[in-house]
Amino acid sequence: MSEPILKVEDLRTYFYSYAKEAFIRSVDGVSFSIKKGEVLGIVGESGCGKSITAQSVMGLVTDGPGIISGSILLTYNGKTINLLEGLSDYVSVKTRRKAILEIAKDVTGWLKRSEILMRGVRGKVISMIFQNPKSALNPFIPVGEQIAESIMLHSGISAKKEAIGAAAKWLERVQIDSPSMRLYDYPFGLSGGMCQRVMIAMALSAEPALLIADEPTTGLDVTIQTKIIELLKQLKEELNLTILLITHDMSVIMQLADRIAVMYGGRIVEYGLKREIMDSDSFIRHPYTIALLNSLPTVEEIKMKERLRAIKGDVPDTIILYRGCRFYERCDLKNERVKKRCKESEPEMIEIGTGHYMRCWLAEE
Amino acid sequence: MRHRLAPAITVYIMSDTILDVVNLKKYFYHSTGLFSSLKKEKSVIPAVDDVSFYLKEKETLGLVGESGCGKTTVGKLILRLIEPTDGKIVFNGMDMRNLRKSELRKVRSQMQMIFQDLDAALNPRMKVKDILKEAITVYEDLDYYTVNKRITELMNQVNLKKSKLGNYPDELSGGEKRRVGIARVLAVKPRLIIADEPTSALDVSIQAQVINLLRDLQEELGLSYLFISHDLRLVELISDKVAVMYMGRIVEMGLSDRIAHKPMHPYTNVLWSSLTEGGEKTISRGLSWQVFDFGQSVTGCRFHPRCEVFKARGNPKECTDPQNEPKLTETGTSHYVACHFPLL
Ligand SMILES: Nc1ncnc2c1ncn2[C@@H]1O[C@H](COP(=O)(O)OP(=O)(O)OP(=O)(O)O)[C@@H](O)[C@H]1O
Ligand SMILES: Nc1ncnc2c1ncn2[C@@H]1O[C@H](COP(=O)(O)OP(=O)(O)OP(=O)(O)O)[C@@H](O)[C@H]1O
Ligand code: SF4
Ligand code: SF4
Ligand SMILES: [Mg+2]
Ligand SMILES: [Mg+2]
Repeated sequence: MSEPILKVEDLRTYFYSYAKEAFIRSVDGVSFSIKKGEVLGIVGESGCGKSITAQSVMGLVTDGPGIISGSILLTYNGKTINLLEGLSDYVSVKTRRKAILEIAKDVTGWLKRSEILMRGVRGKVISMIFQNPKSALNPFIPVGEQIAESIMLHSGISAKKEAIGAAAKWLERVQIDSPSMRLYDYPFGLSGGMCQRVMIAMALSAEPALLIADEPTTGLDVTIQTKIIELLKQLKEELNLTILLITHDMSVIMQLADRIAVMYGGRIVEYGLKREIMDSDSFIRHPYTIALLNSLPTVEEIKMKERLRAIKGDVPDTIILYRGCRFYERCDLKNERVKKRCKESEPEMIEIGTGHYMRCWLAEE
Repeated sequence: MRHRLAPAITVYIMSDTILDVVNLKKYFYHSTGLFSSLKKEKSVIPAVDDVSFYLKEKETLGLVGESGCGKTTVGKLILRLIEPTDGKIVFNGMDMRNLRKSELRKVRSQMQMIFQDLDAALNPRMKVKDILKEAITVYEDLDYYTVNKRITELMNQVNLKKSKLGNYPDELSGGEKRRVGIARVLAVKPRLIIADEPTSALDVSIQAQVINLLRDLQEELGLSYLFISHDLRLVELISDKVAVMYMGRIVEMGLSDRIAHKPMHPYTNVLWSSLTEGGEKTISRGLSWQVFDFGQSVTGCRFHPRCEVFKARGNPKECTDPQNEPKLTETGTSHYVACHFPLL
């Protein structure tokens, strides 16, 4: 129960902007681990690198340079493999005083190598619910067949008829109406929320050990959303399913997550148990986490139709190399004592309680 | 044949009505088996089934309902992206179904849709900059300088970094695509925006900025919105009126705070009561729900298999009478409900 199924260390996934002749540091030194049977929720601003982190784990980043360093350790069936094994043979990074001058990577070579490492892992051990289900499904194949194919690929079932039957069961479990008819629908004939549920069914039908769910419930109304969350909870109980959950919906986090990682500008800035991070009584939290939770509108504000509160300032540009804290410009909580440090050097991850980490100079005090 | 929803609605239609939807219908035909297209075995999905409403200038109508109930289809029908089975759509005094191509083009400059599907309106082979440029210049001839100024303004409005202008849609995060989609619609300067889940994929802070922006633009330019969303709290906040759909029909429509706090239709009640004080969703309610089956025909009120009032009243036969499907009727000032036993 307690050994990690996935351990990501110092993952860096970069892109290159030809227009700016600079690197986009989408994921910039991310580390976390998930224990078996646990749900880790990742929250954070749009564009902060959540999906790219997930795609890096799945080996799905194809644009260059892509993953440039780190390790992704996956443990299943008693053995541990590094999904980034041998990466350093394909990448060389030239730096000067911490700043990256040049990255040379054999992208196609690495992707070939990565495919070999991912074989037998993708789909079977780790499966993923993509953020945009309509584009993730094949538009030319009926959805039932798509699910059946995935079932045949990943489980013992080899008879098509049986697989179609199993697919119908999964459609029912994700609350699709008249599943026996929907099996034959193409994605264009389904509503946004239905495509999303088909995507969920497909990911779950492979019975993975680890599910990566990128915004699994956005297109769903409250009643169906509730049932999907119940289903995930049930699978977690029954099959010890581990989930990496990415979402903007705090109520989904509250219901499902055991631990939370808060990301900002390509980095994890806070990491810990859900109750410590979400509990408003807990007295040290990262200023970004506080600002994020503060921008949730209250019932009263909705009723009075007030103007909504947003975090002031601009989202960080991951092209720029920040010397200090990436949240500096927007941070309301930096005080006179730490201000100078905030501006000049970036804080490290500091443990502020058991298993509760934070990247902020205030934590040192 | 032309039916009016309720006499009162006709009375309310005044010159500042920008959109009038009357008895709109769209039926889809789905095969019921792999080879059924040969056997002509099809089942019918009444995705939009006799929907009527109107929208005034500077007004927002929220449209909510279960996933798959027909919301997006309503939006696409209004824009004439798909052809209705029956019914009428009048935009700004023009009957949308009788428009010629050139007229339709003109109308589309005044009416735009933010698509639920993040990729729908973004050409994968165009950079963000060109997507916006095309939208700005499609109905207007502008010089280089003005176009660039407008692009900068739009990027600021949706809080996108200018460094993203050179990205292709594939190189954007979900929320960045969403914001380009919104900027593209605003670029056209429409009078009516059909916003289908415009805040999905956005974090709460950027969501707040987008909602504030939409409200500001409405105030400044008198825009009208059809606001489709699963986020009931945002719907309550931004809408003047709210229409609740269930399986292709509007079952309740009224002022937004009435719908949110004094609902009359049992379905509306289930929807909103699933939001508790802290904004957290409770589980108890939705759980007793069964998967709906289009294959099984429902007689009378479509909601009766799931209706608590129906159960509590001991299965009254009005609710299952095929001749007596409840019609949307006015029960209070601008409040309409389709139920034989509305909650009071
Ligand atoms: N192929 C690419 N080329 C260049 N930049 C990219 C590419 N893919 C992603 N990015 C950038 O990387 C950043 C992180 O993207 P990511 O999709 O991980 O964000 P996210 O946290 O999932 O956000 P959202 O909540 O909006 O989905 C974004 O700013 C995005 O523009
Ligand atoms: N092009 C199409 N062909 C066939 N059926 C369709 C088509 N588009 C929609 N439908 C059907 O119409 C119904 C309503 O779909 P619609 O997309 O309007 O739902 P929605 O209310 O927007 O749902 P969601 O909240 O999930 O987006 C669904 O049952 C869907 O399967
Ligand atoms: S390090 Fe300083 S600027 Fe950054 S979050 Fe902490 S207090 Fe704010
Ligand atoms: S008409 Fe009857 S079944 Fe339908 S919503 Fe009203 S009480 Fe329920
Ligand atoms: Mg994302
Ligand atoms: Mg829809």
